[in-house]
This record gives sequence, C-alpha cells and structure tokens, in this order.
Amino acid sequence: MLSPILQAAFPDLDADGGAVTHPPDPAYNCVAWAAGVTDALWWPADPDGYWPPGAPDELTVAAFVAALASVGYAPCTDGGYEPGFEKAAVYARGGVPTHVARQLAGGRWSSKLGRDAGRGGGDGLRHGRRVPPAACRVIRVPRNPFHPANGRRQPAGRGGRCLDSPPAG
Amino acid sequence: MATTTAPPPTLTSRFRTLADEWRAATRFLASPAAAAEHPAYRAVVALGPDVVPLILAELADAPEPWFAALRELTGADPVLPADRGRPRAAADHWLAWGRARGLA
Repeated sequence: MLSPILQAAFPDLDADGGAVTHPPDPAYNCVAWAAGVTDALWWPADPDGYWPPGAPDELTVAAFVAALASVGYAPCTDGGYEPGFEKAAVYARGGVPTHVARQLAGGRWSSKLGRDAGRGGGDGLRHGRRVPPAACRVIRVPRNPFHPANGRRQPAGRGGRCLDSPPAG
Repeated sequence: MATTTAPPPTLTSRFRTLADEWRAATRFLASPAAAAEHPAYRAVVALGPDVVPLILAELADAPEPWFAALRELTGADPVLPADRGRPRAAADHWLAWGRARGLA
C-alpha cells in the first residue's frame, strides 16, 4: 500500500504495480542509486553533491551519461529488458536532467525518489513496470549481482566497484 | 555566530514550521542546491545565526541538506573535500564543529 504522499505525487504508481521497497534515506538520490551507491548524493554543479571526476560538471543529459559511464554504463538503444544487463534511463525536461531510473532483473524499473526522508515516515524507493518514455536516454551495464537493488551486498575485500561509497578519485 | 544552544521558543517554533514546509516541498528533489533554493529554506537562513543549534539538531536526526544554510549562517565549512556529497559524513563534520562550540 502506497502512502498518501506517494499516491498524491505519483498518481499512476498504483496502476503501474509500484511498491515501496526501501526505507526513506536522505543520504543518496536517484543517480547514486543507478550507480549502485547508497551513501552519496550524485548531482553535478552542486556544492553538496558528489560528481565523478572526469564527467562534465554540468546539468546536461550528456553529463549524466558520462557520470554513469564511470561505473560501467554504456549507450544502448532502448529501455527494453535484456537479460544479463542493467539499464538506466536519464529523464529530462527541456533538456535538463530531472531523474534517473534503473532497471531490475526481470525488467521492472526502480527509482530513488529524491532524498525522501520525511519525519514520521516516507517512501524511499518505488518499483514499477512502466518503461521509460522514448525521450529518455537509456544506457546499460552488465548486471551486477551486488547492486543493492539486487538484494546482495558486495563481500568485504572483494575486488571491483565499491557499492557503499562513490568511486575513488 | 550563534552563541547559545537554547534558542527562544518562538524561534524554535518558527524554525520547525519552516523546516517541515521545506521538507515536504522538496522531499522528491534530487539536487541539494535546488532544495536550498526553496523559499522555506531561504526563510530559515533569514532567521539568522541563532537558528544554527536547531539546524544541527536536525542534522543529528537525519542528514538532510542543511549544509548550504550552515555555511551561509556561520561562514564555516568543516566538511572535508573527500566527504563532499556524502551527507552522513558531512553531517558528522558539522556536528563535531557544533559540539566544539557548544552548539550541538
């Protein structure tokens, strides 16, 4: 059951099969979630945001694609489900990025809703079936079983991308 | 700079009203800078340095992006460059800063 706040903000979520899967947490946002990070706010040109070194520090779709490329995403053609790959969709309004969603195993899409931390409860993540609009820039990465959305944490000491902090740099 | 850890009740009440309004209005925003532009957030800053202990108490509760307000109100920035964009670490730095000054 979605909270009244979520139903008001995202009225199509119920019909979309949406469900809250994680508690609210202001320590990470939608871009971080797509990158597999749960302790940082990924946002460009922001004194209180993290942005990967090497990605353009600007609020453009290209900059978002470059930022997510830093954790392995690469361009693909659409948001259709491809077994073995995770996809991320960069939403924009008037060319300005507003949101990033990521695809889960089976094709459902997952979003971190801002930093949602409301006192007295709130909803941190939603999952739904709806495929991102064609206008979204979609990129993909080979599926990482240790992404938080996939229910497994990367074992300590294991090589590869750390999921609990932004990439070193 | 704030010099007390016990702001007057009227200030506390006004701050809580504004903070609740800001939180509700910006909860789905991904950008800390965009959240800091909200009128309720600006109104908190306009309350002046006496509100710093209240902001630090908020940070102790949840690492919301109060950092821009704290920088504006105090002129300080205790967050290490390596921790920029990491709200929990940034909150820890600010709380340590506040404790050292009797504000948190």
